[in-house]
Formats: sequence, structure tokens, C-alpha cells
Amino acid sequence: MEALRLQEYDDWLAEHLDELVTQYPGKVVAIQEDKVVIVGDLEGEVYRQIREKGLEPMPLVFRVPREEDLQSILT
Amino acid sequence: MQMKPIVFRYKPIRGRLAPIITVGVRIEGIWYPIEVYVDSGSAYTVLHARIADGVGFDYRGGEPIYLQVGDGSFIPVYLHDLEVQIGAERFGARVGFSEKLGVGFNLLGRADIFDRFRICFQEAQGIVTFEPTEEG
Repeated sequence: MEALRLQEYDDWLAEHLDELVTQYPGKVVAIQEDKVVIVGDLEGEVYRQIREKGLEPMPLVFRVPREEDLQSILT
Repeated sequence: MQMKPIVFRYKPIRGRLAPIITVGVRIEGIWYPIEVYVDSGSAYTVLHARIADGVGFDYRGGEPIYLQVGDGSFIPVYLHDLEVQIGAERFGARVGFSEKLGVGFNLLGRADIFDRFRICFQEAQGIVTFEPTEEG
């Protein structure tokens, strides 16, 4: 995939991850063109919607951590 | 010739910084951007099995191994040889899937990664850099 696309997703998350933790804890989100385009409970549900909508390029699908998920990495 | 390092910003969460980066993983011909926590303590790159389930990949067909995790217990992991992309660098790597990964994040581990890049955690600058090695 395009390296620039990976970089854009990474930069977007660096700016918005904290917001996602506040807004969508525990949810699975799909990010495309600098915005959240799908929110679901399971990866399968989100990838299915991506296929159905024919979203290109492949969005970044990300399970937003909950507060308790952060304990294991923010020590 | 020295290769230019790939630079990732640490991700701020709740006032702290975490070395989470976006990589590409090719599964059955499709590239998926995936977030991983760079974890030098993990022998392998391990993704949550729910990702494989989500894209319809039969991860249980991989090589089964057991990995020891932080609390001393062992978790089942199914290893696959997949293409991985970091920055513009593409290469084959062993990538595991596990339904028992106890942390909320996917892990970018050492095998086939840490020998390919010089990885530098620069917390003061808020960046982690991946410099391709000549061996890679």
C-alpha cells in the first residue's frame, strides 16, 4: 500500500487518539480521509460495511482502547 | 549507504505517550493498515484474532506456538508468513494471531522486524524511528 497513506493514518491518529478514547472507548472505528466513517462493536461488522460500501483505499480499522486497556502500556 | 529512518510520532493518550505506529499487513492479497504497539519484549508480532476473523482469514491454519506473556502464563498463537510494510519498506515476516492476547493492542515484536531495522525510542522528542539496516 502507499507509504504516504500509512503516514497519513499515523499522523491522524497522533492528533486524534485521545479524542477517540473519550468518544468511542471499546468501539471499533474505521478512519478514512481524516474522519471516522464507521463505528461498530466488532471488527467483522466494520470490515463487512467497508466491503459493502466499497470504501477505497482501505480504511484504518482500529479498536479504540478503554481506560483499563491503557493500564498495561502506560506504566 | 545509510538509509533514511522512518519516523513515527508517539501517540498521546491521557497525558502519556505510547509508541503505537501504523503498519501495513497483507492478508490474502489485500493490504490492511493496522495499529501496533512497538514491543521489544514480545518475541513475535501478534495481532488480535478478531482482526483475522473480521477479514475472513483462517488464522488457525498457521503454525501453533505458545508465547509467554507478562503475567508468566502462556497464550496460544498461530504464526503465518505475511507481507508487512513499515514506511515504504515491504518484507516477509512471521505474524501471529491470538484470541488470548491480554493487552488491548496488537504488538509489533522482534522476529523479522528488529533485525531489519535499528529502532530508536526517542521519548524526549516524542518519536520512534525505524532505520533500515543493511542486513535487511
